Amino acid sequence: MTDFTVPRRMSASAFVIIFLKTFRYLAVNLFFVAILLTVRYDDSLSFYGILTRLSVTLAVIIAISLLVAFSKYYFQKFHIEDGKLVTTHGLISKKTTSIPLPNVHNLRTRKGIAYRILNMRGISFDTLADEKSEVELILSESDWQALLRNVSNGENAPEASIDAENATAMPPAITDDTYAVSDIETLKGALCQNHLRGLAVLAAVLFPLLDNISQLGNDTVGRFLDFIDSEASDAINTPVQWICLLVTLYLLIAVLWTGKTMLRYGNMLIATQSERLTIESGLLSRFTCRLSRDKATIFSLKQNPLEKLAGFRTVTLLQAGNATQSKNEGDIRIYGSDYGSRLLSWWLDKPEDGNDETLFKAASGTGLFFRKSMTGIFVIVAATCALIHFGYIPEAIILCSICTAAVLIRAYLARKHSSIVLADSYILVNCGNIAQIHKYVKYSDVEDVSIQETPLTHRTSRVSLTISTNAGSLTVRSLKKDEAQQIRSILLG
Amino acid sequence: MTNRQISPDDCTPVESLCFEKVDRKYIYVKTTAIVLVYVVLMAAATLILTFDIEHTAVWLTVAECSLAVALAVNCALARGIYNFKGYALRDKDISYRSGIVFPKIITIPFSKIQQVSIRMNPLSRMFGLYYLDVINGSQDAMNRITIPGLKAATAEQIKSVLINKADCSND
Repeated sequence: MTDFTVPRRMSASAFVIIFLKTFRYLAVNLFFVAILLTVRYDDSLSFYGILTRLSVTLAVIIAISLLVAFSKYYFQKFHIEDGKLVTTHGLISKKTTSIPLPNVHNLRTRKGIAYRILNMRGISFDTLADEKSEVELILSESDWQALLRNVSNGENAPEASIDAENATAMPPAITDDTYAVSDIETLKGALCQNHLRGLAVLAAVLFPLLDNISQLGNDTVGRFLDFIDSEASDAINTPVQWICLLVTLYLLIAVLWTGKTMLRYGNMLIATQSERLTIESGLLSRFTCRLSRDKATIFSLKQNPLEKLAGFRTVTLLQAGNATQSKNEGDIRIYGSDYGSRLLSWWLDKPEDGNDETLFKAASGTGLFFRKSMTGIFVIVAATCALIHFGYIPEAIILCSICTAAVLIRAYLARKHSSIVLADSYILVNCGNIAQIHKYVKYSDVEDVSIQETPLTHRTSRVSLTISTNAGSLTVRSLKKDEAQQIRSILLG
Repeated sequence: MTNRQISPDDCTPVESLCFEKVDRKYIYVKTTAIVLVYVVLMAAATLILTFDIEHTAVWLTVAECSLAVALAVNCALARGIYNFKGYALRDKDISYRSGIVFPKIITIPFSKIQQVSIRMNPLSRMFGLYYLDVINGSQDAMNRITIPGLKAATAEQIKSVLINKADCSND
């Protein structure tokens, strides 16, 4: 049985993983510098000379990686003491971090290829603390299970003391369910999303490349850009060629986005056990997220027209904003499944077919339509004027018509979808432009309520209502003033 | 322990609250801040003289006149800003009203208050006024309450009330 009461280091396999991570980091960042030093230093160098220099550079990077990995591994210890996870790390300036186990908001694990080969797991403890660096440990499977038991006991300690006081109360029914989301379903879900998010993936690939190229000097960058410019202007002359290029680019980013989603969310297993939700996913690297019901602040169900045709919804669980450094890993997303109702019933701790009484509801007015369309119309008018100025009149008319129609349809749908419902046990904010998005918040998670007027409120009697939580704010615009005030009274009451 | 029935009529709706105004000297703080900002902008506008364009003197004059007009308008609005700022305490929450073009009322329940702090900057120090920050768990920085223009005694009084109420609510 692993003893966590005594300060201990991670196992030797953890050192190997830390070394590999450090080596990868240094190799990626120093790659172009190494090439520059090796190739440009002496142009008359032979092949074997270049090879020797590269080998020396590689050896230096390995040596630095070993040194850094050793210092990270050797000077980090952890143990559990009085219901707190205590970690110490640092060589010159020692830092001790204590995390009360009931304050652990989310327990995330990661199993990349190296982790799997060595049968290890990377574990991150997320709290509401504002510190940028999370506590991360690398443990073997047996140590992980033993630590998990300790963490579970620590997390349940406050609940156990309350249960002891109310000993005559009936214990809550423990529900234990496991769902699987197949790769096909995840793929369908990814294909139904907004692929333009793949632009972020493309940027993540291109920007470091461009950044590294810029290190090679202004002349090289200038020649690189001139080459691209001359080749592009020779190859792309007609609008048809431009359209082909844009379609190719779109397909590329769609593939990038879908690939990224599959790698992150493929082969997903969802398990609910009483208060806890555990989600495990990932094709190459396995990610695990363990969250308790009261730490999931906003429950979101999204369905765009494609998802509606396919018969599934995207589920997102948003937790407190400070709980994790990486927002992407902190928010739990499930694509391509129809488990929305089941997970919602788990989150609400109510039967799936149970209906909540509606206390109050209100819908947005026409002001939202104008608000949503205003910016788009302004941009379209400006672009149309520019195109007409440069003589592209037919193109301006076509583009203006298509874009205006799209903007107006989007604004109409946004207004149609926007409303707020106060039910017995939750607040439901309906929003979304093309997609329908339903966001659920519990009354106890409301941090503050605000009502904002506009200069037109005197005429229209319409205001914006904002409900803030620790996972973000929900705003419903263009509500009737008296309805918004009534909602505020109910929320604060 | 008492647990009497309360009627909705016993609760003062937020929209009917009588908001306490901040200290009158806040008008001077606001006006001074506006003047300082526009002095810097007007000084920056003189960089037009370094541009290689025609009629730099004309452009400079236009820019300075525009800024002067904006300064005058903003100074005139300072009194309106003061008039519309106010705070109100109820049994269970604090509300803060601000904004003249886009008026806004934020209400934070005492049970959600995590931190209350008092601060001043060099400008408010000249007039002996403080800012009171009420921080809850909200992620939206726009929805935090900062009450400006309070005298030291008033700020301390509100702070102690909020902290006591927050502690009682959490108990």
